[in-house]
Amino acid sequence: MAKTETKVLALLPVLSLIFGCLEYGPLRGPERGSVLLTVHAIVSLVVVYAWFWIDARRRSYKASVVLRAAMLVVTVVALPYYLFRSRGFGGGMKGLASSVLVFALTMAAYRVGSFFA
Amino acid sequence: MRSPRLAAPIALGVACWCAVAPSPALAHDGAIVNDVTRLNPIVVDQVLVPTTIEEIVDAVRTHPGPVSIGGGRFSQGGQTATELALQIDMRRFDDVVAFSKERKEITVQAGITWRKIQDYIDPHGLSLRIMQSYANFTVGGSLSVNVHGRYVGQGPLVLSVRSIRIVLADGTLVDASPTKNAEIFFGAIGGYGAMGVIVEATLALADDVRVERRSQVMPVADYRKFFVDTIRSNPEVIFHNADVYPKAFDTVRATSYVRTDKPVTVEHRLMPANRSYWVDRMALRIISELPGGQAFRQHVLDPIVFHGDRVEWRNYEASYDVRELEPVTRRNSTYVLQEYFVPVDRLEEFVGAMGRILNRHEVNTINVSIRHANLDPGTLLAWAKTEVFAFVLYYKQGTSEADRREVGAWTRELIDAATARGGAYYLPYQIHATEQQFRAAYPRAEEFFALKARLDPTDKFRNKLWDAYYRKGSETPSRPAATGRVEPLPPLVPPDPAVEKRVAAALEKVKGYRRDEEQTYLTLPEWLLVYYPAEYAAFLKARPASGFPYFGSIAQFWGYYWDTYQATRGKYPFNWGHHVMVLVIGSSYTVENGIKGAYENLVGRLTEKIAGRARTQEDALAADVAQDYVDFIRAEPWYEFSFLRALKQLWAETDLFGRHMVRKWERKLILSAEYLVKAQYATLIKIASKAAYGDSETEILARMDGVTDGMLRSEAKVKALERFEDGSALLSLPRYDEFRDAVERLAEEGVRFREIAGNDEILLTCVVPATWDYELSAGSVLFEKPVLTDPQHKRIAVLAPVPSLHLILRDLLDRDFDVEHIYDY
Repeated sequence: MAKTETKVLALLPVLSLIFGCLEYGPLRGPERGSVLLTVHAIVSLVVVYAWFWIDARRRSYKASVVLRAAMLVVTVVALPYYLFRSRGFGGGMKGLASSVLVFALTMAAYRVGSFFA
Repeated sequence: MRSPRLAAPIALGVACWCAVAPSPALAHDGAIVNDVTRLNPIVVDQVLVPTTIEEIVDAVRTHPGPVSIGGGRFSQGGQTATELALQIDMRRFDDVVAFSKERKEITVQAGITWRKIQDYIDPHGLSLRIMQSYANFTVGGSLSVNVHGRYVGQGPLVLSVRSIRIVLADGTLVDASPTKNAEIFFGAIGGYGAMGVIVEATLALADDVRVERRSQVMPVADYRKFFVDTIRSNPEVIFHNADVYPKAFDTVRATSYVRTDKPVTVEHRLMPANRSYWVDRMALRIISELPGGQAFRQHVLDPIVFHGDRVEWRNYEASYDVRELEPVTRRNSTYVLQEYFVPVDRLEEFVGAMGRILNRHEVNTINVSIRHANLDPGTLLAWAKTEVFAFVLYYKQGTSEADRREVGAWTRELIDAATARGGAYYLPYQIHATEQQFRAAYPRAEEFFALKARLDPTDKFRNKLWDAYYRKGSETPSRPAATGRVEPLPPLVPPDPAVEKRVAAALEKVKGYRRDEEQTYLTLPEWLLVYYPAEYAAFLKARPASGFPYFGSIAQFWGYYWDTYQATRGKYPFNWGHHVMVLVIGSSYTVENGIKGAYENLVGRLTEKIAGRARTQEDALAADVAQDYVDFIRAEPWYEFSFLRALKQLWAETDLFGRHMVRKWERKLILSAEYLVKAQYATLIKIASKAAYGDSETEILARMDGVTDGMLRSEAKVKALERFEDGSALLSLPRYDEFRDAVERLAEEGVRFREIAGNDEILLTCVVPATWDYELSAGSVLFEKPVLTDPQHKRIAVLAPVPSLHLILRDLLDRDFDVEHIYDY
């Protein structure tokens, strides 16, 4: 049975698949300033933040206010920091590799969505 | 810092010729002309840029008012212009007319620079017999000043002139030489444009030979004997000068360049035209601004500079570029020259007197260079009335009225010190001498003036120098009737103070009219964040990302910031808001490019190599996004750019698999990281910017003359808000790039600007060929830097007086230069 964090993360490629379809279907690609672009970004951010919140609680990691804010506004920098702080160097490296993998899968799903649109 | 060059530009090329009447030659109405010191702005009626003798003859013959002659703009006291004159700008009258290798002579048009002649004769193994230390000056200017250089056994330039051709006040073209029309020859050379327009000159040449540098330090007391015994009598010595070290004035460094057969140690035959001079300028600043700067020069810098063997070509040593002396800004202070001549046997006396005067007045003396000159062969305004030593004084002074008065005081003391010893002072510099001092220094002035009265009975050829000493007190002429291509624009007459007051009061009531003038400077660093991405985008189209000068652009950004800060320091209150903003964006740029530079030079370079320099789809997309970004930020704030869209395009519009997989996926991931970070950072900045500054203003107001309803009909975004009783109008213009475009169009249609946002100065930048020297009749270059991705070009920042903006734009556009931006505060 997959952990809750994994299930949350699985939402990312699913959402990307849907938004890929939506953006490349009727709109023929993401438009600058479009609502879809903004919604996708916000929803993805919420998902990532939810994963972080669950993961931190499961590990009893007490995240500072700064880190929590950073996870929202500079995620690409804050996420690796959190991974290393919460898991140590080895675990952090594994976590970072997993994050890259999840990101790649998410964007690949977007590509697949655009392909089927 | 090479001391001989620091020592200086002796002969400042004044260009004193004349002419006028806008015919096919390029003519501009109403302009402010200035010289290299920026101390002498003069409003002239027209500027004519002739390219043929016929244009000059026609202008001289038909122009009803005074005529002045301009060359390289290196004279320093208004010797190239006078109010409401027609100024003939000779710099495009610059061809070689005839050349004989056998006779070792060359005939040139007077607007040619010495450097251009050098480029011509160097391949033939020839060199100029006499010229000044710097090669930027025009021949005509140098003749009018009768310059000298560092040549041993020579002296004034007239010694190397075989003949001249001159246009007199009645339009007659006359050939003159020491044996034909000799009085005109000896009146015109060294005559500062009083007799006519020198249009051609035939000059003697010499062999270009290899010279070896020899330098030694000695007490001033020993120098004359050293010179007489070992330099003057040695025909192998080509160049020689001695620099006196302030403030003790008791030690000299004597430097000679002696003919040799040794192989050259300097590869170039001529000074490279695009050479960078930042080290020289930095040294100049250390010497002139830091405590102990002079001691540093004497005991550290010069021993290093003069250490070791150096063999070079004569032409190399004669092709210095004045750019090495150009400070970052001349706003609050400027570097200026003076020169004095005393008989050879009075050297020690004069050095002592000079040192005492300079020290007593606490003059910021940078250098005093001693040169030698033989007796002048007969010019009416000869400065070498016997065998003399010349003392070239290079110093720094403030630009305020008080500073200038103080300079006048000690200058007159120095003149007295020279004339009391049978010497003279030099005329191309600031005009501080009294009439009595002038006549004491130039005892044949009466003969000179008598000749002028005969050749130019209506006093057509005028400039500030002759306004001061010839027919002193004559009234300023009324504005002459315009001829030829003169546009029907408001006259350049002083505005009616009462009307001006009413207009000013009306403008004060216009909301949003006035903007802080310093912002024209301080907005430049912001715009760099448009220019650098534009350079980056252009770079990526053809070259790999790893080759971009990330670190160089960081350094240059801060260099520009420093320059703009220097331009505003002391003149305006410190603008905290703007400086903080520039520091924020500069720091962001530094971090971004620091990381990118490090990454691209390590990982990026590696994956490029693995891919065999092949260009992946991701590379192409990155280039497209970079271009989109540049196009976007030219009209919108950068933080509005959709990096998320770029991210999605990166993944949706490039294949997941394909050739060069390593490079492909490395690009996907690193570009994703870049776009993600930027997307979030942009959102943050957008929120912060709106909170701190609100929405940016979309219009700027300017007062201008010559606006017609017809012009405005074709300008959708330009609106006339008010028309004043003096004919000027207040217009609303769009901002940023649209502002530049609108201003260019209006200038093209003949509009003259009075004020922009309540200011009379505005900054613009322009990308020009790296070898181009600013030569426009108005405006000045505040600073310039190379375009890092295109060494053939440089970016110049031009400070434009608003009333001359139309001229500057037209001149730049005539030359097909790209005006990058006009900084609308």
